[in-house]
Amino acid sequence: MMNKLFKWADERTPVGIEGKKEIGWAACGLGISFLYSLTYYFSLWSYIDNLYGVSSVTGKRVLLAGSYMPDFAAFAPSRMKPFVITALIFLTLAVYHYIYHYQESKSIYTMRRLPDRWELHRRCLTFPITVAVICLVSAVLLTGIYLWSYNLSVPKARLRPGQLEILLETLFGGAK
Amino acid sequence: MIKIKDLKKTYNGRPALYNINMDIDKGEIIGLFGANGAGKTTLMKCLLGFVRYDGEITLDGERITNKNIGRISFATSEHSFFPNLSAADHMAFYKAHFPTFRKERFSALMEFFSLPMTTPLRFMSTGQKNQFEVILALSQGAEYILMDEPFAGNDIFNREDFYKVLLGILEPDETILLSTHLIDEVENFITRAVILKDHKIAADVNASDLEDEGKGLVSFIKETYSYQPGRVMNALDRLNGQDKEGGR
Repeated sequence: MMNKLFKWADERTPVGIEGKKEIGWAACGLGISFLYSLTYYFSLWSYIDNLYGVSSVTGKRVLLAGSYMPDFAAFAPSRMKPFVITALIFLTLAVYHYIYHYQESKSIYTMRRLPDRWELHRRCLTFPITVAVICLVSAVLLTGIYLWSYNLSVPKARLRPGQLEILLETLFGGAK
Repeated sequence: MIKIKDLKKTYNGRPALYNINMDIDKGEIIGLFGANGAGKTTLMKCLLGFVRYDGEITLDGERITNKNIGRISFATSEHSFFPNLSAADHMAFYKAHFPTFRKERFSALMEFFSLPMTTPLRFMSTGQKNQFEVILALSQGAEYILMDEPFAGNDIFNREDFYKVLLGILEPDETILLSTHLIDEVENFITRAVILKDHKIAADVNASDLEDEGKGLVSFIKETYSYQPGRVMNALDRLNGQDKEGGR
């Protein structure tokens, strides 16, 4: 499985650059982005915890009157920034892939006279674009999961309805 | 046959090639000569489609595209190999992309020049890199082999070896277009000389015609370039004169 993946990457990175190495960078970027996104739960638990207080009468944990729960859109999207940064870094890597063919020699001459006219672009673009797409899809999926867990864990009395719409409005300025 | 018709090329409005008309027949060994900046490299880049140009270049009547580009190979002093790859890796890459790749010729040439198969090219000497660049061009299985100053940086023994090998292995339908400044070294084996001057073809002669006229290639090129043999002495005399005047 891993060998197949490395072979796939080798065929989609510039000749002489190890696909394995770029997979390593991608895994690193995705891993860090994912771990950072988990900090969303620390904020969520903290906000939920602040909704409650201990009743002086019963000694039990009760929802505080007038307590406020921030919207999902107010704190969750920023936790996805590392995914966007990783995607941008990998798109920049595509530029480096082209520049690479001018370093130490002009291997660009060989790439440009291959019978397969797409080989150069396949090797420069496929891997960075794939990683960028994986980053963005991961960010969207995780946002969906986190929104679902927000809706489940926030007490009904403090849950403002239409969190998805609010999120879309925040992200895209009025899109419904 | 490669046919070049009314080829023009400018870089930022400055001419690099002007009105080039030329046929390259199979089996020719053409020496492409000219001063630095005359347009030799640009002509090769046009042939390979690396730069945009005006005019027409065809290979057996068809425009040169990715469909027929494999029939042309290229060796350049700038080097077109992959520095991180070894010779063995290059062989695998070329075999995968050029179905005509000649493995036996590649191996024979590698052995002849005692080049290592597993060392990445970046760790080889300039001479070895040049040799490898030419080996790749000769082994691609192309009918037209373009060489742009391929021996720049190689010592004389190395170059002589290469000329011998080149003449020994070339098949009748293999064509060489060789751009070089080493005129006297190649004059004995080229079949035709094309001289570029001021971005135009200043002369295009068969080597046999020159021989019949009893002219050497070096003197013919000097003649074409209106070279004045006394130029250097005159300049030195002038400089010495200025020094004496300045010293007074």
